[in-house]
Amino acid sequence: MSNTTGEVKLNNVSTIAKGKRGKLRPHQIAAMKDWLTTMLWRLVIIGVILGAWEALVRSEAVNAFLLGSPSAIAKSFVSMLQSGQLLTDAYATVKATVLGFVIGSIVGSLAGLLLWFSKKLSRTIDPFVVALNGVPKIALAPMIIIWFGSGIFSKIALASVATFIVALLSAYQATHQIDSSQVNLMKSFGANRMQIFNKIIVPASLPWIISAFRINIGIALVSVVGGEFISSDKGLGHMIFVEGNLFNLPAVWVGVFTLMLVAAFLYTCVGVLEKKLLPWNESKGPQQAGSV
Amino acid sequence: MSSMTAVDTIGNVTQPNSDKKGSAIQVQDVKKTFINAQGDEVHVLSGISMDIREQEFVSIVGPSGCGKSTIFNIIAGLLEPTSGKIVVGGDEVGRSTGHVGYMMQRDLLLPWRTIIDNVTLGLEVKGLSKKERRELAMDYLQRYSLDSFANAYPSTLSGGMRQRVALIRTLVTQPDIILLDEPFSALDYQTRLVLEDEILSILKNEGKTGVLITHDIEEAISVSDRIFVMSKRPTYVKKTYEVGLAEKHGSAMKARTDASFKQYFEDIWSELDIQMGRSS
Repeated sequence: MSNTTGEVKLNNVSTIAKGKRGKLRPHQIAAMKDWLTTMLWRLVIIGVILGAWEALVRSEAVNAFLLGSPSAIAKSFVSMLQSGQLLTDAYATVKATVLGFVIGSIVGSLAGLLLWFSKKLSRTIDPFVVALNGVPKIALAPMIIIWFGSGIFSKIALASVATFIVALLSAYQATHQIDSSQVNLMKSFGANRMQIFNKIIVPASLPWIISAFRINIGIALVSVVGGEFISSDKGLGHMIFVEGNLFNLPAVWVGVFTLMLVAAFLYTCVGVLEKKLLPWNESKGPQQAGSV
Repeated sequence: MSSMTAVDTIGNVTQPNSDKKGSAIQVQDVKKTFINAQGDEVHVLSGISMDIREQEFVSIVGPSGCGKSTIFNIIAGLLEPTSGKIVVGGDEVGRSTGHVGYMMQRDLLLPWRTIIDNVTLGLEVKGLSKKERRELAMDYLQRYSLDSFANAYPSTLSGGMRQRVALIRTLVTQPDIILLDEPFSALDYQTRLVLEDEILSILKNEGKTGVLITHDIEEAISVSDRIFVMSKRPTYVKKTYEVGLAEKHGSAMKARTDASFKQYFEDIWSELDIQMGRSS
C-alpha cells in the first residue's frame, strides 16, 4: 500500500517538475499529428518535382544543358562545398545582407519614430520619402558602387539605403495610426511628450516595425545580390552571375537554392525577434510576402 | 482603507476631508467655439456653469452630439475653453493635466502591457519607483479580486473585467475627482448593471467625487446624487435634478426599484426633447 502511494506521489512530482511543458494534452497531440502530415506532404511534393525533373532530363525530353538536373546540381553542390567556394560566397552575401539589413532597418525605424516629435518636419519631408520609396532601390546600385567600390561596403551601403527607406516609412506611418485616445489617456495622467513617446508611440508602432523588418529581408537580399551582379569578386550573386554566363546551370541552381536557405534563415530570425518583442501579439501581425 | 492614507503614499497635497463639503469642480460660464473645416465658427458650448460638490456623484445627460465630451476634455485640461474658467480643488485649470482621473468610453488598456503594468501606467507617469507602483497596483487588484489576472494580457479578459481594470488604473493614481465618459456603453446589459453598482460603491467608499457622462437616462437616475440635463448645441445646462436614489437605498441596483424612478425618467426624457425621425 505505502509503496503505491509513494509511486503516485512520485508521478505527481515528475508532472510538476516538467513544469509548463508538462504532458501532452490530446489537442496538442492532434496538433503535432497535423504538423507531421503537413511536413510529409511537403516532402512528397519536393520528391515528385525532383523525380519528374530528373526523369525528364534522363529521357532527354528536356535539354539538360538549359535546365540542369537534380543529380548534376547535387554533384555541383558537393564539389563547390568541398572547394570551399560555396561557403566563401554564401558568407560574403549573408554578411553584407545582415549588416545592411540591421543598419538600415534600425536607423530607419528610429528616424521614422522620432519624426513623431516634429509635425512640421515630417509634413515637409513627406513627399520626398514617398518619392524615394517609389524608386526601385536597385537603380541606385551603379552609383553606390562608384562611391563605395566593388567590395562588401557597396553591398552593405546598398542594402542599408534600401531597407532604411522602407523602415523609415513604416515606422513613420505607424506613429500616425496610433489611437489618439491612448495619447489623451496619457495626457490625463499628466504625461509629457517623452513619456507619451516611450510608453505609447514606440510600443504601439512595434508590430508595424517588425513587419517592415520582414519586408526588408527580401529587399536587403535583392540589393546585395543585385549589387554583386553588377560588380564584385565574391558572393552568391557573383557566383550565379559568373556561372550563368558560362551556362553552368547546375552551379546557378546551387546558388539559387542557397539564397533560399539564407532567406528562410533570416525570416526565422525575425520570427524569433517578433515573439520576443511582441509576446502579446500572438501572430496576428500582418504577414507579408518578403520579396520584391 | 481610507482615501487619506492612500493620498499620502502618492504625496499629493489635498485638503483633509472636512464635514462640510466644499466644491470639487466649478465650471464658470464656459464657452467653447470650434472652427470647422469650412472655416465657419461652430458654437458647441454656450455658457455652461456647474458647481459639483466634494464626494458628490453627478451625471450629465444630453442629446447626442451636444458636446458632453468637450466639457470633460475642458475639465481634464485636454482642451482650452474659449472663455470662462474651471476651478478644481480651488485652483484654476489652464492647460495643465493630471488633476482629475479620466475614465473613457473604451477601456484603452494597452494590449502590449499585462494587467498589472496597465494599472501602473499613471503611477509611472507620476514617477513612482517600480516597487511602490507594483505594491500599490497589487493592493488595488486584490481589493477588487483581479489579482489572479495581474500577469495576463488584456486580450484574455472580458469587456466587464477590462473596464474594471480601467477603473483601477484611474483609482490607483488617487485622484479626488473621477470623470467617467460613458464607461458602460460598450457593455452588455447585465454586466452594465453590476458594474454601475460596483463603481458607484467603490467611488463612495473611497470618498471620490464622480462625474458621469451618459446617454442612458435610467443609468443616470440610478447612480446620481444630481443630474445635469443639457440642451442641444450650442449647449447650456437646461435643468438640474436632485435625485439621490442610490444614496437613499444604498445601491444603484436598488435605486431602480424606487417609486419615483419612473417619474424622473419621464421628466428627463421630456426635458431632453428628443425628436425621433425629424430633423430639427
